[in-house]
Amino acid sequence: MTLNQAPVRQWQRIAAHSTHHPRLLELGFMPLENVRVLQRSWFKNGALVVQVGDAVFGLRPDEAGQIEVHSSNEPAGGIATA
Amino acid sequence: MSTTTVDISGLAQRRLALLGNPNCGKTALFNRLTGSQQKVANYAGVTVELKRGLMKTTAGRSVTVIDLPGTYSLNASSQDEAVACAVVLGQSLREKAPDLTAVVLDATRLRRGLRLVAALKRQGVPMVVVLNMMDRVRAQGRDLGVARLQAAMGVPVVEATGISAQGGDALRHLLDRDDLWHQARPEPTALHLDADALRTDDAQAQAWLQAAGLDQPMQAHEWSRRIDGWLLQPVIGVLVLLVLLFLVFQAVFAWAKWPMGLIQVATAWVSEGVNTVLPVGLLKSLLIDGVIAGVGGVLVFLPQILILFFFILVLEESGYLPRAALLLDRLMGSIGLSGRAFIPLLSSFACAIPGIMAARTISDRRTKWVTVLIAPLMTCSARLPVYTLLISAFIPAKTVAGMSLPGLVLFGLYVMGILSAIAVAWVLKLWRGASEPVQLMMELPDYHWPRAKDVAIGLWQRASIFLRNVGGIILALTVILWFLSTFPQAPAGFAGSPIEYSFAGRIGQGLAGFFAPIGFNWQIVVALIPGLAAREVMVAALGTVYALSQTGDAVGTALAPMIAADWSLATGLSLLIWFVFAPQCLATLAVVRKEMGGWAMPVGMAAFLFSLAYGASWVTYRLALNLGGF
Repeated sequence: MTLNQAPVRQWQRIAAHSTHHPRLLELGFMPLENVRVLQRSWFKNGALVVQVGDAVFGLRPDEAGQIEVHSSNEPAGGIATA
Repeated sequence: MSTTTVDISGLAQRRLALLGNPNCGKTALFNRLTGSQQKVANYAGVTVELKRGLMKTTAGRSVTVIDLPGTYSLNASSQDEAVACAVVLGQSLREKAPDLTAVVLDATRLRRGLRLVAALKRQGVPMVVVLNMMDRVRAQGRDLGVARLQAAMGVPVVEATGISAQGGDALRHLLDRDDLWHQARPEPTALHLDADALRTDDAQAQAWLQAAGLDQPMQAHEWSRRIDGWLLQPVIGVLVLLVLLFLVFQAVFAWAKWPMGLIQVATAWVSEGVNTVLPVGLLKSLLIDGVIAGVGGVLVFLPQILILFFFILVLEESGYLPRAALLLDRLMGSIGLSGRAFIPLLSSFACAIPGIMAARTISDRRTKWVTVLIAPLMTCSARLPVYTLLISAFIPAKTVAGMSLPGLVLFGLYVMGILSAIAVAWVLKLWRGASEPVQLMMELPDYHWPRAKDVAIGLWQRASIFLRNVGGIILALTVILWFLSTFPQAPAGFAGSPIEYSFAGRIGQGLAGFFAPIGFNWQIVVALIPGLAAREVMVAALGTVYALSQTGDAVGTALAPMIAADWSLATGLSLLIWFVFAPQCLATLAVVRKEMGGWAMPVGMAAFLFSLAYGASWVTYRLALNLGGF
């Protein structure tokens, strides 16, 4: 599953093999990091609001679509300080 | 905060660079360290390029502090980040490498800040680490164990709170350590910025956190998430944004009226004073028609620009601005732009210059190019006096459907600017194709209350740079206009009005044939020439042209009835439309050249906007002539 397909507010974990844009890595979308979609636009191409660790970013669907995730059973924020 | 008076002109020997992630509170800390002892190297919209200031260490030593633009990594993806990375790595040709770099971290988001520290450490950059926003950590009853983190990293670490008066004291104290300033900078080595290097840096950051016992979760800024639940909601969020924008514009025009009136009264008073003191002659004419008219013409826009910047700064400081950009991203995306173009375009309503400078934060070259091209189509406040003059002269003060007709026309001109900008961007999107996807990837920082002092410092910087850069050009060109419209002086017995004999009159008459198809007479063409300095100068220039071309009692008569009698309605409308499009501002073109590098962009832009203006005015003039029979 990719991040743009993930259900809203549910924590996911970035897959270790996810090959997304290096810029996303720099922003903190590191492998095994916890992420969740906070808000989805009503429009097909509208931006998503995404939380990674404790930081929040606006991503376009094609940007979020590069991030491979699988569901995480970790509680919210149950990660190292982001 | 130091209360010692620091001489800003003499640069301190020791140079400290502040580097950090965007939104780490670096600029607030810079303001706290340097107070008002700052200089901005250049004009900028939201993210300023290089700010320098002087601070005192606890022992009273002066240190030059350079506030670098925020960056997430050493792999720059925008011009702003490139400047920050080049300076800190000692690769900048314009800026000497700093002796020491203070890496500012958001203490509530240590991991990503530590990634930057790890990358800098690999390059051997001499540094200290500042854990900023400690107030938030303490509010959670946490202690970060600075000593353990320092031991793990092998780099001096201090705590700071950029928003409190004593928040920078630990850093002031640390900077008195002499050994910090004498660290050898190793020979520059190849930068490794690939994904593997990033993962290594991240592993290093996590190892440090673990060693310091900081791998516990930090509480999220929960109420920011809650506010976002409303403000980013697709319908409510957009409604709030629209109401906010409406209020901002309402304020810009309503609040600015009184100070603008005051400036006009003051200008008239000075002019009157000079008039009574000096004898009739060239010097008096130069002072009144050239210098005072020029300075007054610039100053009168300052209130509007300040009020707009006040709101932009407050929205930026509070963290709302990137949310507004996010809400507009889909709209912007549909015309090939990104939500990031919102801030430059919003600023352009005050003045295109800060707008174009703010486009610096757009990393995608094509998006930036289109944003800069359409920024002048946003109705800047310099156009208002021209619009006001023409509307009062040609649009009857009638009420249509309960609304005033002049008000509707003014609103229509704003809408026309926005719609043509959208059309231009859309055509460019079709023409260039949507092959390269535009990036958004924008951080939404936590909300916080804007601090009055930071807003005041930002406002002061923008005001002084506006007056220095733009005011200088406008003043100089107004004086040149005065010269052109005064010399050569008509010989005694010359049949026409004196200005017809001058350079300006000759240029205007020479070009009149070219502008005749769009209904402009030679007086308009003459006034358009100084109008290139800044659009509002056109009004003063028309005043000059008409005042100088009249004799006796006619001088000093209000301009509006004069042009209403002299021009046809078709000419008036044509000139109104001309101002929606015309590249009528040399200062803007100069900034475009600087920002985009080279003359190709400003020259092409001027030619494009000029053709657009000529075409639209021609259509307006012909339509008005044929439909109205004026």
